[in-house]
Amino acid sequence: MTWLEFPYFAAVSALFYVAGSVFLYTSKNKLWGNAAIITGLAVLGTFIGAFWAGLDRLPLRTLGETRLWYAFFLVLAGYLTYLRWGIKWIVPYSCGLALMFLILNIVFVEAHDKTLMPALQSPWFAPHVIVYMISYAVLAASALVSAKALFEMFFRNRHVNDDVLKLADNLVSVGFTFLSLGLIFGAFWAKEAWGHYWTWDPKETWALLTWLAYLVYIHIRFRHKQNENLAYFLLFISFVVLIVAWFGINYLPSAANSVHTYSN
Amino acid sequence: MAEVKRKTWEKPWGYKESAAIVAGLMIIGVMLDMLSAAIVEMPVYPYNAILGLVFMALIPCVYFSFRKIYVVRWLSEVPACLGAIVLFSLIALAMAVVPQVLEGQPTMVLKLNKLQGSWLFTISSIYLLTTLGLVVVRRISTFKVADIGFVASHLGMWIVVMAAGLSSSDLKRFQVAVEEGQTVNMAYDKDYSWHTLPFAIKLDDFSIDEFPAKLALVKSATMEIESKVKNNLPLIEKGKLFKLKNFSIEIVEYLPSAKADSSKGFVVSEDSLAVQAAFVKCFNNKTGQTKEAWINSSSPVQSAGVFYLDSTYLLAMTLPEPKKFSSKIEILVHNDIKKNVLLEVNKPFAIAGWKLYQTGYDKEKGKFSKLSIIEAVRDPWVPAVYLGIILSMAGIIISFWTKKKEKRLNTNGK
Repeated sequence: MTWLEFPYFAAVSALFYVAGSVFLYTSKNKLWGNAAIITGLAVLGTFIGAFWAGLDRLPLRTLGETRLWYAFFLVLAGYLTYLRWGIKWIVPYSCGLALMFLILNIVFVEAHDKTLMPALQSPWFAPHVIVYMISYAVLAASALVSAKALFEMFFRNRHVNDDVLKLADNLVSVGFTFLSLGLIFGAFWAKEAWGHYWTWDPKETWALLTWLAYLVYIHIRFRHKQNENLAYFLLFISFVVLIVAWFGINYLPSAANSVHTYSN
Repeated sequence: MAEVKRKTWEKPWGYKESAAIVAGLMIIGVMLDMLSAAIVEMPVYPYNAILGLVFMALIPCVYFSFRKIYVVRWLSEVPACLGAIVLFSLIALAMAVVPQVLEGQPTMVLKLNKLQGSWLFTISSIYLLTTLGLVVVRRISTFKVADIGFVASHLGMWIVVMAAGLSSSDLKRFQVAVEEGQTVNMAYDKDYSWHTLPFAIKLDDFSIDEFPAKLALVKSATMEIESKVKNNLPLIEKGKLFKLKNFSIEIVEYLPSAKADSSKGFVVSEDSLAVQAAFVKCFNNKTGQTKEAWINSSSPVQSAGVFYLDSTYLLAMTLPEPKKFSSKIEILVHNDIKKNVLLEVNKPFAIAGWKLYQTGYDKEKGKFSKLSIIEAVRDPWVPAVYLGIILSMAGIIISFWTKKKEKRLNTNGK
């Protein structure tokens, strides 16, 4: 399987994502919504698996490849949030965001490059990037929470329920744990591949900034439960930093000598 | 709830005071950096270790002797810690935006491109270690089992920052350039000064496994790869069909290791100077003509073979990309020889407190390089840093897990 087949799988998967989101709200029988979301995930999951097999390497080298996993984990994270905490609206939101990433991948056709440079051929490669993708997906869900709350506050002048922030806290604690794991796996890998666990490479520095931003959020929440506006604002800012760390960095001057720019 | 307005520096201190302290530290750091252009360097072992131990002992001493002093207690509270995190983050942000350079290169104003060696970074690290250290001591002094995640994550972080900071002067990263058959015990650092290693390396063999070359459609006038397909060049594979512009191309034969043959074009060869070769059939959809020819990659004794498809385009192989490169070496250390050591990217070898890494070769010669670049790294502080990392991670996981459990207990208790 290659990128050539991707639009078909993406379309089918997107259709199920949308149908699932609609069913969750309209159908009395929960089964339909659940079945559609799971099918959508299965279709995209199948593509990832077959794509992996066709490439003979883990499809996590280029940005397009990471977007692919993201579109999978984001919906998975949203759906699990719904199952675990009963938050329904997170499902259509995460599906919508995943849809955007699927479309991005269709619009910007990726190189079908099978080569994988020696530095990336490591047992750390898969855990490092997959853990990051899971973390990014869960933290995106928390950013959706903050975006919704900020929207309600500024445009409708309404205050959101306290439970919403509790949900954000839960998502951040999951996301932060995975973020820490990703950072640490990266450090261990760097020691094996490049001789040192930390070199202030721009990507590392941005990853650290992302971690620090969520660290600030956690401390603020630990001490100042009542200041909710600040919490939502921090959550939003943290996600902006995360986006820069993920792909915004490719447009920064400091990234020119990064070991992480594999895409070109 | 009406809050009584309090003046700055009136107790209890909060964020205004925290921000003021951070601003003060920043001013001190910036002034020191303006006054002294020299890079701040950590003393080498054993002085850095002594410094570390003194600092480590100082924190509990200060806490237990002076905790009645308000500042000492306040430094272990969230506002102070957040100030320390934010200060550190701001410096990290500057490092993330301004490209950081090596020591030998010109320094920007305020050491902006060498922040790691600035007073600002040093002061920020010390402030972070002070607040974090006091937090840990305070929590340990009132230890409850429920605090184990908290203590582990914070203590772990403290160890990481401390050990990584102290290690900077003891970290040695040297490059060893060695040709096949040579024995070398000299290495150069990033400023190209030479050092003698406590061991010698003999390179028995350097080898590269390559990926198949990629197929490129090239404009013969400019010798540039056709831009429409530039980012999507296919790997050559026997039996594959490609459509490039108005050409249908079939890879009839592909030999990953071949040499030229006067009658057959190319034949399989295991020679060290072998090249990649492919027999290609091309159908021109505009003219209806079919042509076929060999194309091949180059070696020191063989020039690259291209295939002229028409007056505008030719077909060529790109330089094959390395799949794997490795050095078979012998290491001579203390009258002892370690034979048959295989160094590969991502597979370093540890010897006599050093770690050896395969990092490079002569890129211009590619597969035919006889030169191997090996990095020798010595960092005696790694175990301490890793201990901190693992402790911190364990703490984060424990906190995550116990938090969940607490929640469940709370819901059950309702």
